Formats: sequence, C-alpha cells, structure tokens
Amino acid sequence: MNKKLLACILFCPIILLAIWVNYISIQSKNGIDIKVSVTGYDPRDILSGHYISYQIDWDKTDCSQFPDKECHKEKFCHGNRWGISACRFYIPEESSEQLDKLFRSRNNDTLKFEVIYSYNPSRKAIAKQLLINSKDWKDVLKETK
Amino acid sequence: MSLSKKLASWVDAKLITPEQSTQISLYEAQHHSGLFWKTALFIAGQLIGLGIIMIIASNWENIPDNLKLTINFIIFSAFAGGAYFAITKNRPHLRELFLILCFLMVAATIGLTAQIYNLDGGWETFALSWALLGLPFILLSRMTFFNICWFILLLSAKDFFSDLMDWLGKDLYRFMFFSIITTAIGYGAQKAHDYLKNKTQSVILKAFACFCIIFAYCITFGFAFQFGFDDYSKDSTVLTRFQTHAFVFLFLCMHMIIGLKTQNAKKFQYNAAFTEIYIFFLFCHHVNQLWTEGLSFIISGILILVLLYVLKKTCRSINQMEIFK
Repeated sequence: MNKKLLACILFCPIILLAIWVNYISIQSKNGIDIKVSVTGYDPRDILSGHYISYQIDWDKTDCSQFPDKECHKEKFCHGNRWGISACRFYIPEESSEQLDKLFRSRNNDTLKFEVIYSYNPSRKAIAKQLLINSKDWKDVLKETK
Repeated sequence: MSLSKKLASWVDAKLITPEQSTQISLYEAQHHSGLFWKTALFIAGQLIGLGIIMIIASNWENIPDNLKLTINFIIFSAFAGGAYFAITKNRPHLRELFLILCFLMVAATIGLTAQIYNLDGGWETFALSWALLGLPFILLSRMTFFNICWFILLLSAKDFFSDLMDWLGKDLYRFMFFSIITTAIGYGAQKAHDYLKNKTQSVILKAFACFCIIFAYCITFGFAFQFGFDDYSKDSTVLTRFQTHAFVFLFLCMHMIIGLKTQNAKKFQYNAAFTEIYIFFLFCHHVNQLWTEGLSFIISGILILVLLYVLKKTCRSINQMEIFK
C-alpha cells in the first residue's frame, strides 16, 4: 500500500475528531449564556464517566434571557428515552457521591439547581456550568465538606 | 492433529522428504504462526485501551480540559504512528496491537469530548460515531474477531437487535425464515471473501460471514429453547415443538453437509457435537410420554443408520471422502 495513502487512512479519524472538538469548543464559547432550572438524578456511564442526568424545568426558567423573550426548548436537550432524560452534566468521580447525595435531597427547598447553557439559534445549546443556589457546584461542595 | 505431527506422519509414509518437512515448517512459521502472540497482544491492547477509557471516564479534575484533550490526541497520534510503523515494516502482531489501541482511542476521544462539553445523546449516537470513525482501523486489521466486534458495535448503534426481537416476536416461522436468510447471507459473504482474497487483504467480508453464521446459530438455538422445550414453552403445541426440533436438526445437518462438501472436518465435527448435545438435551427435557419419546428416538437412530448404509452403497463422492474411510 502507498505510504501516503496509509498515513491518510490512519490519521484521518484523528483529524476529523480534532476538527469536531474544535468546532464544539468554538460553539461553546460563542453564544448567549442562558440559565435554566433543572431537576435530576445521577447514574454512572462506564464510557463517559459519572454524570448528572436531569430534566429542564421550563416552568421555573426565565424566558426573558432569550433574545426574543421566548424559550426555545427545541434547541436544548429534551425527551425521555426509556425513562432516562437525555440531558447530562459530567462530574469527576471523586465528587460524584457527594453531589449525588445533594441531588437526591433536592426536595429540600433551600437548594436550587440550575445549568448555564451556551445558546445560539443556529445550533443545539451546550451545557457549560452547573450551579447550586447560584454558585458553582465545586464551590458548594467545598463549603459542605 | 498439529502440523508437526502431520509432517512427521507424512515423512514416515514417505510422502515428503525430511528436507521438505523442514521447509514447510519454516514457511508456516513465517506466514501462519503466532496465534499465541496475536491473542496475547490483542488482550494487552484491549486492557491498555479500556484502561485509558476508564481513566478518562473518571474525569479527573487535576488538569485543565484543554490539556486533557491535548494529551488524548498525542496518545492517539502515537498509536496511529505505531500502526503506520508496524504496517510499513511488516510487523503483523504489532500492527494488530496498535490498530486495536487506535480503535479504542476513537471511543476515548468521543467520550472525553462529550464529558468536557456535556454533550447529550445516547448509546446509538456514540456507537455509530465510534463505528464510522473506527472503520479505517478495522479495514487495516487482519483479525476476524476484531472485525466481528465492529459489526456488533455498528448494529447496536442502529438498535438492530431490539428491533429484530420485536419483529420476530413469538412467530416460529419468522425465526426459521430469519435463520435461513442469515445463514445464506453468511455463506454468500464467505464466497465473496474467497473470490476477493487475492485482490484485498481486508477480512471484513470474512468477519461479516462469521458474524452472520454465528448469529444464525444463536437465533436457531434461541427459538429452539423458546418453542421446543417444556420448561420454556408452556404455550407451544406438540406440532410446534416437533417443527422446532426438526428445523434444528435440519439446520445442523445442512452445516455438516457443507462441512463435508468443503472438506472442512472441523465444521463437520462441531456440528456433529452440537447435534449430540441437542439430542441429549432433548432427552433430559422430554416433553410428552416417555414411551412415545423413546420410540421416536429409536426410530430416528435406525433411520440414520439406514440412510448412512444407503449413502455408502450409492454415493461415490461420499465414499471417496477421507472422513468416511
């Protein structure tokens, strides 16, 4: 086999993945920050790590954040697949247990969970930050330790 | 019988000279050996690749996301470089090791990106992306098992297995139809691979053939348990059970005949072993009256003996086969 062709075949997936990662990175940085209210629970995913699986609570979300003051739900994660929400926020393994306990105690009215999304009308919104009572989740875990 | 024993017996029978025996051994060592190394390297590659995926999955906080991605792509490029070296320097075992690692790194990269940017999407999207981006490494690999894994991954991405089970339902004839079709496609793919063997070194067609045939066995035995045995099929009628067992025996018999025609002794032996195990299983899970069952067993055995006798006396091609001597 031609060496150049072989190199192309071997490195083509790497290049495509690099382009894809860069595209998502740029999309994440370019967009309006929208804060949505969420509810959820935490399963484990072997391939992608621990994550919070949540549903967006549109009733408690302020739609005036959007440019046209309307909540564009179709641009956000949605739908239930076999009872599991498609929305995810990934968290490190060492913090997952503590955060899981916090999430499961969500009936406690003092805790308010929100996710900041990077929103752009031309593509799907990308989750950027998880907030608990308007603070970053990492800061909240440090305080509760 | 191992090659060395066969060669020794051929030398004893003066079919080949000792020098020819040595030449054959050397040739086989160069071209067809290394099962141990191939398997060991595959397992090592699997462990390393899955270990990398697990470390990524732990989502360690100690280093920034951009650095994680950079390290990931450096490792991926290193593995791809290793594969390039192994292929250009004709090192088949190293080739397989690096190709497996590259394939697993595709999954690791997708998983890491999903983790950093909190991308949603289920197994289907992930598996389809992994299968498509990993395809170049599969096409360069010569390991059939690796290619079969790729087919399973691709089909799981399209929800193939659950859709198939829904379609098959509790319809015995659909099971039979699907088993026959899958077997036919498998043997067709095998023929295509044999035809194209000189033009391409890819084993993807052979892997597809193996996958189809193994799948046909799974479907056949799956419906045999579902419809054929009392413990699993309370609602099946006697006719349904009879049809099920008859189909299973015909299925196994067909594979034995194909083994005979292609002079593949292993295929014949495996299917013969399956038949023996199935008969014993039938005996252990007898359905109706023992007297009727016993009589049908004896009649079946006698019929087989009669058939063999007739074949031996009438069919010249079978008599010429080594397996019948």
